[in-house]
Amino acid sequence: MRVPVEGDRSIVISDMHRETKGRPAEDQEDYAQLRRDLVKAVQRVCPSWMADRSDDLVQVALIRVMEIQRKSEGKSEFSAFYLKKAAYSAMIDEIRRLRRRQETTLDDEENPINPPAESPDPERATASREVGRAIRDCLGGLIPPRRHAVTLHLQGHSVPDVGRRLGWTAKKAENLVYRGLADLRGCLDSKGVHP
Amino acid sequence: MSERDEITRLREAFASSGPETGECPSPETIWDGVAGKLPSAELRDLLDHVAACATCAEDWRLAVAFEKESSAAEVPAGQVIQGRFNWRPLRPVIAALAAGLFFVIVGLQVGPWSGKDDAPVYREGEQAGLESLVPAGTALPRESFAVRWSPVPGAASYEVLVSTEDLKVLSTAENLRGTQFQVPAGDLAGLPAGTPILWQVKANFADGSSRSSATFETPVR
Repeated sequence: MRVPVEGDRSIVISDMHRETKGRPAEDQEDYAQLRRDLVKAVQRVCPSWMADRSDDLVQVALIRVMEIQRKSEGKSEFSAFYLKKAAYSAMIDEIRRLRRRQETTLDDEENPINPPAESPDPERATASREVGRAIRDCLGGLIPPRRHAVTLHLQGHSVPDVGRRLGWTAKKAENLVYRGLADLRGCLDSKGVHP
Repeated sequence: MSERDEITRLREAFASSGPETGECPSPETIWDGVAGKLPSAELRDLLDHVAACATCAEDWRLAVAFEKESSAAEVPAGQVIQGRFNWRPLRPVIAALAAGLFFVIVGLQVGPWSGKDDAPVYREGEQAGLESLVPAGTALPRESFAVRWSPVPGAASYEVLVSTEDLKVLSTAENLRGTQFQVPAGDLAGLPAGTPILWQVKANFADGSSRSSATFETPVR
C-alpha cells in the first residue's frame, strides 16, 4: 500500500519505521525529536490536566506515524510536513476524546467544564472563562474581515502575520485589527465585561 | 492599562477553556489552515469556527506551537545558514546605487512625469499580474457597477472583495469563473455619488495557492 506523499518540504524523514536496516540511529533521533516537539507544544498550550498526560497523548500520535510507515512497507518516503500533520491529527483526535470524557465525567458531577486544577487561582480562572465567552459572543457580531483579523491576533499572531495569512498588506491588516479590537471593546463594554 | 496589557488579558481570556461549538473541523483542516495550505474561502470558514469554538481555538494554538517547536529544531539557534550572501564588500557600491536612485526618484517627483493625476492604487505585497480593466478615474453607475480585470493564466476561480475607503465591506464574491463581477446595486445604496469604492481580486489556483491583485479604486456615480 502506498501512502500519498506531500512533497512540499525538502526535508524528508525516511523510513523511520525500519528497525534494523538503513539508519536506525538517525531514525530513533527523528522519533525522539518528534516526541519532544509534541510534548513541548502540549505543555505550552493545553490546560494542566491535559498537559500532565502529554506523554500518553504523544505516544498515540507516534504510534499513528509508525503505523502509516509500517503500512507503506518501507516503499514510501514521507515529507516532514506529512509526518507532522499525521502526528498532530492523531494527537488532536486523542485530545478530543479526552475532552469529551472529561466533560461527561464533570457533567455527572455537576461541575464546570474544567477541573479546578486548571489554574492556581480558581476565581481568576472562572472570571477569565466568563470574559472568554463574552469575547466569542462579540466576535460573532463583527464583520467578517475584522472578525478574522482579531481572531488571529487573539490567537497570538502578530499584525504582519495576520496580513500574510489572509493575503492583506500590513497596512490593511493593521486597520482591520485596530478597528476590530475597537468593535470588540465596544461590545464587551455593552455587556458590562471589562477584561 | 496599556494597550499591550489589554491584548495580553484578552488573549488570556480567549485562550480560557470553553465548550465545543457546532461541528468541529478535522485536525487535518486545522493543520492545513495553520500551515497556509487552505484556499482562502476555507481558511475564512475555519477562522469563523475558531472565533466561536474554544476547543478548536486551542487546537489551532497547538498546531502553531508544534510547528514552532519543530521549526526551531530544524534550524538550531545560532546555526549559520549556509549560502547567505555577504553584503559587506559591496556596501560602497550599494550606497552609490542608492544615492543615484534617490536622485532619480526626486527628479520624477518634481519633473513633468510626476503622474499626480493617476488614480491611486493601494499596493499589495504579492501581485498576481492582474490588472483592472476599468479605466482609471472612470466612475461607474451604481445600477451597473461592474468591475473587470485581466485574466490570470492557470487561475481556477476568482474572489472579489469590495469595500469603502474605511474598509467597510460592501460586497464579496467567490468561485467566479469569469473576470467580471457586478456589485449588486443594493450593496451600494446610500453611498453619495463620487464615493471611492475599493476592490481587490484574488486568483485561486487548483493547487490551493492564491495570489492577490493590487487594490483598485473606482468611484460610484
